Amino acid sequence: MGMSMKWQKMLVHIFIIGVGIFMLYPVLWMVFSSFKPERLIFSEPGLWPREVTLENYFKGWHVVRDTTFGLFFKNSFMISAVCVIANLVTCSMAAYAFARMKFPLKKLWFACMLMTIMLPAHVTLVPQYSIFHSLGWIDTKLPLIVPKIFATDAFFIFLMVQFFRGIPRDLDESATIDGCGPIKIYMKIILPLAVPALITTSIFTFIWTWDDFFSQVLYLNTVQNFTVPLGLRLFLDSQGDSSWGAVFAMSILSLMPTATIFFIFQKYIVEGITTTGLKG
Amino acid sequence: MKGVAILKKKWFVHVCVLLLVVVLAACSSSNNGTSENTPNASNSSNQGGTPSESSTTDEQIELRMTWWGGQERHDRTLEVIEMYEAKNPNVKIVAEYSGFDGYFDKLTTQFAAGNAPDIIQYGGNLNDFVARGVVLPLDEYVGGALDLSKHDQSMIDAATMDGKLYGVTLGSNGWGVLVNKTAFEQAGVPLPSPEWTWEEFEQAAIQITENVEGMYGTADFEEDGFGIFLAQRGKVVHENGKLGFNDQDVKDWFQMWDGFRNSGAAVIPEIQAAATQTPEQSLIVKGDVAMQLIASNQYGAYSNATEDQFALYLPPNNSDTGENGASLRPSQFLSGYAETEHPEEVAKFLAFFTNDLDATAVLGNDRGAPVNSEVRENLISNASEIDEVIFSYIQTVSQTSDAPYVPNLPGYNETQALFKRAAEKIAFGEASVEDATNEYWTEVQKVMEKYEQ
Repeated sequence: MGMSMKWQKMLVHIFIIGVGIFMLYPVLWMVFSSFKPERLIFSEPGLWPREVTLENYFKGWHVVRDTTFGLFFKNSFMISAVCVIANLVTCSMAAYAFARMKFPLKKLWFACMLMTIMLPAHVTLVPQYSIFHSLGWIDTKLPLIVPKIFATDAFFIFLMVQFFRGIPRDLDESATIDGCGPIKIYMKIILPLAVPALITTSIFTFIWTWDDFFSQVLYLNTVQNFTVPLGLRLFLDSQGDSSWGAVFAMSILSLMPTATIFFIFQKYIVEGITTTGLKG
Repeated sequence: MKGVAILKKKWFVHVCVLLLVVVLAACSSSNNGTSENTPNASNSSNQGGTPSESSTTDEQIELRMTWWGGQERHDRTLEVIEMYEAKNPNVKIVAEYSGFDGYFDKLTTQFAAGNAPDIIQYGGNLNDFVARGVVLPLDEYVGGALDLSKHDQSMIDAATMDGKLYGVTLGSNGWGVLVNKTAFEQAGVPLPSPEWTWEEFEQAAIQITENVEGMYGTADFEEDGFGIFLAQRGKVVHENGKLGFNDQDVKDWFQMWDGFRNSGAAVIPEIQAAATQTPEQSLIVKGDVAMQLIASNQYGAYSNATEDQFALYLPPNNSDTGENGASLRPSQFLSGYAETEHPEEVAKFLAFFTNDLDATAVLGNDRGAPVNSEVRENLISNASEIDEVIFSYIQTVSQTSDAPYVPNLPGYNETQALFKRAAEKIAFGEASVEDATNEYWTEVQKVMEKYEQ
């Protein structure tokens, strides 16, 4: 009995590992291809490179004259970091208000907030662009950053509202008896208990901002302001010469921050999602 | 234990708040930075607002220019911009370049907000933007700031719509048959003569299929090949909103390829159906076929993607008319924004970009063979191996064929899909040549009617 259970477990594991490798194959292919000379990438089907070269990395790093990919990483980090912090602070405050405070028309505002999730981004695109244009913010990072300071990511507000509702009200009440006001309750009770939700928010904000392409291509015009997703596309011209080797090399570098963050905080993501009632 | 954890978390929260304060401060300082910039920008636009004809050299002008492309094109274009700025110290050109993804989405948004760059690169969709009235007509500068005297007439015509000139053509391409020389040599098949006929083409292809394991003679030439086939019969795909061919032409084309597949010259439909447009993943680069129809500007992309040696051939002749049907087609256009404050400066830059010998030497073949004949001669003399193949091919086309440039059929995506579906039905044996032709013919006429209104 024990033996057969063990065998069964092992078989299941082998199967899962096999499927995992199968799913990873495109990524592995990209990793190996990034070390191949450009002309062999598509003509040599196998994984293992016949010739190994770092040329793609050098070529990719020096993407255009006077500009290296380092600049794009710096810009992307800057934007992502500010978005993460802004979302953490403002979304948690908004969520606290919705979860714990009493104010007029609360249900209506909550519905409005949820509606912003459902509104397709394309609808607001042109008006938004016009507003940022008249503010003189085009080709700066501001259109990407400033909205986050006003808790515009309704998804995270919703996520945190759900989490905060799960925190027993008894804690608030005993804090009130001890003389805490709403701000102190928020700071001393709610936030420390909501760390999993906060971490989930940070990770998703980071990954989504890091990978975002469309709003960045829209608002950033000159290469000095470019971010990693825009930098990657500088290599690609669907109608002419594309430097695939360089794209692969830089894609791998750009995967590293997200992958690292995901692996470090993996545990919290699951915790954060399962305890917010947002069960998939 | 729990107390320690909570303490740690408290610490985390404090750090977060502290970071936010720091970042907000940083933001407000960068805000100052931009607000310092904005007055400058508005100053320069104010200057532009004053009569722009007074192009005195001390007036500082800023032009924004946008294009899409790969790494190579960015480097070359930036160098030309610097050359222009060195020659015209009063002009500063802000380069806004990107990959192709999102390029036109962004441009459309910019047009809607009235914030588009002064100089814009377009592709075959120039006419869509002309129709919206956002492209600057250049007629009043022709002969003055913009000298077109050495440009190929067909390429000037390509940028002319409703009698007005809307841009300069940046390069011309032609369809050609890419031949894998290495495969021919390995198979012991003699290379075809440069003036070949469809019959010779078929024979060469059959020999490749028979002699090379796992390789077929040729890929299907698809709808682009059909255009060439029509030109060989002295017909055009469409003109003035009317189709220039009849159902018999379609039937003959499908019949010919059905014959090629039956004789073993053409690749089997299972492989053809999975073919992509990307040079690096094309059938000829993957070694599935030895011949394929390509646009001449992509010769470099195909050659660099493999170690095999390639050659570029004219399309096979129609043995009755002796025509090869090849024509030049514009690759991209450079145009002005209708709302630009410095239209004359834009025209001057367009002229520099297409006529200046040093500038065009830097640009090379990246956007297709130059349309200025003087520039082309200058380039051939010191071109790289790949560019030489392309330039001499373009030169051969312009010498051996007078087929006109015909833009894509209206509703290109639709009509192309129709053609492809008909071709695949025949290839997979789902329909006879007759039936598939009739179906295509009815459908394509419906599409034409739709676009006529």
